Amino acid sequence: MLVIDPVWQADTQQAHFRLLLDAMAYPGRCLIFKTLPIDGGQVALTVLSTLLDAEVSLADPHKLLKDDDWKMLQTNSVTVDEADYILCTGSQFTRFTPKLGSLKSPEQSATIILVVDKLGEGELQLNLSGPGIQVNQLLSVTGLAPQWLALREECNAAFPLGIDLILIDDTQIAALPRTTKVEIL
Amino acid sequence: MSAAYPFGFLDEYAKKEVRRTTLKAVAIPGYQVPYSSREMPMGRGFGTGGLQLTLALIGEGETLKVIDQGSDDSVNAVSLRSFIEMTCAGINTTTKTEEADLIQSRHRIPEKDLREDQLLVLQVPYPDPLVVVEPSEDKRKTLHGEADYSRLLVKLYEDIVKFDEITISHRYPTRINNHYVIDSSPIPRWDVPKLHQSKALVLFGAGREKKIYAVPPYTKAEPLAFEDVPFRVENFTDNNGQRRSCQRCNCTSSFLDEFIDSTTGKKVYQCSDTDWCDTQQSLNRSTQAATDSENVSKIGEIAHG
Amino acid sequence: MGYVAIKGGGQAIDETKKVFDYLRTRQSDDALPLDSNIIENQLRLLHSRVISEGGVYHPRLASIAIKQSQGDTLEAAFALRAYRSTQPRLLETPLHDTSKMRITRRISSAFKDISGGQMLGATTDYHLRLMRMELLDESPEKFRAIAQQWLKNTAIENIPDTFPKVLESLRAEGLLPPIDKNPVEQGPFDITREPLVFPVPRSAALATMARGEQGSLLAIAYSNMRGYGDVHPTVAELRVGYLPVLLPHPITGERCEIGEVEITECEVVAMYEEPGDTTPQNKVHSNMNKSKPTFTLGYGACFGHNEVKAISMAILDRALQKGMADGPTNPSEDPEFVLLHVDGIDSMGFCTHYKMPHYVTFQSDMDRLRATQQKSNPKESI
Repeated sequence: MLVIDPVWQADTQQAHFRLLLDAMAYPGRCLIFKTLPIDGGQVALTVLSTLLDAEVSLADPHKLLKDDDWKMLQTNSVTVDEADYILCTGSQFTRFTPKLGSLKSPEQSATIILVVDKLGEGELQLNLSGPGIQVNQLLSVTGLAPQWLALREECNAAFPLGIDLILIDDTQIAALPRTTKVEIL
Repeated sequence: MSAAYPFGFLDEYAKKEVRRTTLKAVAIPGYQVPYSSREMPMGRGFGTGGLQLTLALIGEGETLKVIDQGSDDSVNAVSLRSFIEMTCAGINTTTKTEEADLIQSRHRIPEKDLREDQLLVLQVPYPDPLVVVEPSEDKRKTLHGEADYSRLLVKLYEDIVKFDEITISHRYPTRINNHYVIDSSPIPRWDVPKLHQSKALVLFGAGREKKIYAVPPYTKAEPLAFEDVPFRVENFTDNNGQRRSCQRCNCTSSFLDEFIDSTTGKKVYQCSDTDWCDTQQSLNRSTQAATDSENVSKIGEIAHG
Repeated sequence: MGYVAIKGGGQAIDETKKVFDYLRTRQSDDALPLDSNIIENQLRLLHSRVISEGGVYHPRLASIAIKQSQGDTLEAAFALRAYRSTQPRLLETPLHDTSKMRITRRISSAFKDISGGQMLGATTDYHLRLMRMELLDESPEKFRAIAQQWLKNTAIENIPDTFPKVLESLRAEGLLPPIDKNPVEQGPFDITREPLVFPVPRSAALATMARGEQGSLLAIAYSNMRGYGDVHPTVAELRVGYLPVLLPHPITGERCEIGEVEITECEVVAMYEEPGDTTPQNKVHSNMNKSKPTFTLGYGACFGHNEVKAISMAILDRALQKGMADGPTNPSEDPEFVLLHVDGIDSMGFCTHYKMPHYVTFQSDMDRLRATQQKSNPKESI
């Protein structure tokens, strides 16, 4: 019998969107996914299935997705400099120039999803401040190459232009919108 | 032949678009993110923007509150709430602010402070504060991008020169996170300070104008003003310098509706926020009951003393 | 003390629904309800208008919409549009060629006679607008006899199925720019998927107008005709008929007909006088990158039989193209002005919303006015 992974179902996508919204509204907080892809599928599908469809585009430079995943996503495959969404492995840094938006239309900018080893634990300690954070928020990460944060700084140098980051490990999600100030401790 | 609707009335692609738009809105505080905005069965101007947000966000098991002018019972709130109940099987509804997970509101922010686990969706007719000084949307987008609000400030200044006051009543222009100035929507000035460092995320939906914007939690929200002409909320002081109170619950710290009582013909003041008023009333009753029982035992002591 | 003025809102709304439907049904004790087929056939042009403004070709639902709204075209179009919101978009059709339409009417003002002839069809253009009082008392027998009689006297073989496009003859003569054989592959702008962020491509303007409210389009086009504009149109061709809708077969990929839609299509040819350039040979508008000047075109098309709308649309298409190229010099040439104000659902919704409670904002207004009055006359107390 054909089993449809719950991540493709409307109620799961609604629940995961609310997590995403909380993550973006309260940057640095680690939130636990309600459902994970079955059979050890790519955890990033929880986020991608919630947000993507034929109206937007995705780049997968580290080839984290299978062909079947692309078929289910029904989204457009493009290069990293054109993509609305970019999926990468956090421990592996690849230099590229994502879409930053424009002064008139800053929303036409990329959202980068980084799959890391662990959120909430690790040697990389980040002190976060800015909208969504009352005073400070501490976030530790394992498996995030610091060059990603440097790229982020570069991209976000001229607000409102910039990129937004979503970090996921095998069970959780956290987000860094362009407005968050990140200090590496 | 039947017209069967999915959960939340909108198809999943419509919801996804609203969701993507909302995330960018939170990431760029105060910026009006454009979206295609589906037509709803209620008219443009009746909250279709707020409604699309609610329908894209709400999930089974959640509790919804809908208010208009602060009241759950206002015709528009009633109509929206029944539509959402009809199309979202398995949600609960409440009139109590503290019980709600998601609050959709027209023209008011509840008096009671919201929590981090609550969401507020405001209905917006005009999303752009610059529309009074520049009719072209294309030109406005450049002004917003550059955070160039000089013409808006000049307009406020002209008001002061003419009237000695800033005459903007509701829809007060408010600067978010030191960049974008938003139209705070037709909430009274009374409610604008609630946007500043709010615990909850506040989302703004304009259906007809096809924009979504956001004030994230713990974010600076500063109403535009001048050093010598500060931002002022509505004044509820009577001629004797006394702060007016609600006729029903005696509250002196809430936004009051002013109207003519249809039977006595007299001017009456009452809390605009009906749930707040109900809560104050029951607090009054329990305080009164506590006082009464104290008195009863005192009388008892005297009688049997 | 109970809550005033707004308690019982739910009950009040229920009662409005009941009294509204009462007005629909109170005709007489032996009244019959309107049949959907009656609306689709005998109110054909009203039906066309609602399909066109609703933006979804569903004749059966359009009839219901007209019936439930008691004939209010804005409300009926609104109901159809809201229905459309619940339907997921599956795919785009390939480009369709309207020269293959099954024609019911086709005329050209540009020429006295055209290939295939001027087929007037079912037009009211030359009717005398006198009241047909006999319709007050039309018996079912007389009614049915009309259609039976007409069909009896019509020789089907004399009616051509389709006609060549008038514009083709102008093109052959080099009076119009030739069609680009290899156009840049650019999908049409989908106004139901993306908001209008100006400047918008021509397909966005045409799509917006195709489901625009007829009166709004007519008023703005009229302003251009009267002098707030420069189009000076000649109708090269107006055609009404049925366009077969072709979709690729899900397995073979071959195009097959899945149905047909009634459409009205208008192509106008416009003449311009270049500002400051009065030499006779430059009286026609020069197209860029062409060695000789040519006519310019305006195009209008919509669902159903609706000629005023198609013509207005074509005039506005030309005006907007000019406005986007040279900058608008009057409202009909300004894309923001035209495209943001012709949607009937948006405009009637907002107009109607003024009837909703606005007393909190009014309270706020009163506060400001009182404060201002006090400042101008501090000795006066309120």
